[in-house]
Amino acid sequence: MSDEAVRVELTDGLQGAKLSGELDIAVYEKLTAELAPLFEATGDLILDLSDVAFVDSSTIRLFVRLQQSRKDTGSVVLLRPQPHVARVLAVSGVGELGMRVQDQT
Amino acid sequence: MSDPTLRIVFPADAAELRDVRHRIAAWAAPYLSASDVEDLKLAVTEACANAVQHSGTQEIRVTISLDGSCVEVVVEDDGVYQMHLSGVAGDPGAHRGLILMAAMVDDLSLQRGTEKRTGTRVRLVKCPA
Repeated sequence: MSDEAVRVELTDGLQGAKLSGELDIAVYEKLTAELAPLFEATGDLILDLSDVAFVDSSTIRLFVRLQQSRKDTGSVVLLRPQPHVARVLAVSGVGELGMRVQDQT
Repeated sequence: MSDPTLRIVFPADAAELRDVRHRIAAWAAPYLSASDVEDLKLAVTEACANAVQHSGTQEIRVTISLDGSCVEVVVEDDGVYQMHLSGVAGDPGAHRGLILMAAMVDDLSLQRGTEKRTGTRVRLVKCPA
């Protein structure tokens, strides 16, 4: 029910994904499962957040785990966050954790 | 003017949180900016998520009311507050929820449920700019 509007679309070559909906602890396991192939890839990983309406600390935890899975081969790039999502990313210090927030690729 | 206080009682299930924060947002919208409403939604979600994930409570009670010109939300459960949350050694994000919650509001107070006296009460206050 809660995750009915949450979607994950992996992009070619496992270099990214487009996420949609409200991301919270109710969908954490589903998100982790759908993004599982990305944990095995290296290099930069682009997550398009333009259709993400809500993130919480579990979402940040997932982004941190994805960043750690890069093993210094690249960064998680958080693309086009909506204003409040951008605020949460900033407060969470994702930049200090090795991620990048960008408005365009 | 009638008392606008809203009380939401729901089972401690993560699937409930989306509906709860939408109801909180709808209630708070006349009193706060859109950005402040988003802050409050996140703070309430984090407070409820703590109760759902770690406290062992069956039920969560959320009350939203006005405190002067500010909006006050109280989140109560019947559980035990876990100081040692996810307990992931070396995970710098283990306590991110509490920090995020605090950053989103003007005031936060936490009365922890313990084994001796169960029931955690989190009070969140968001004031208009």
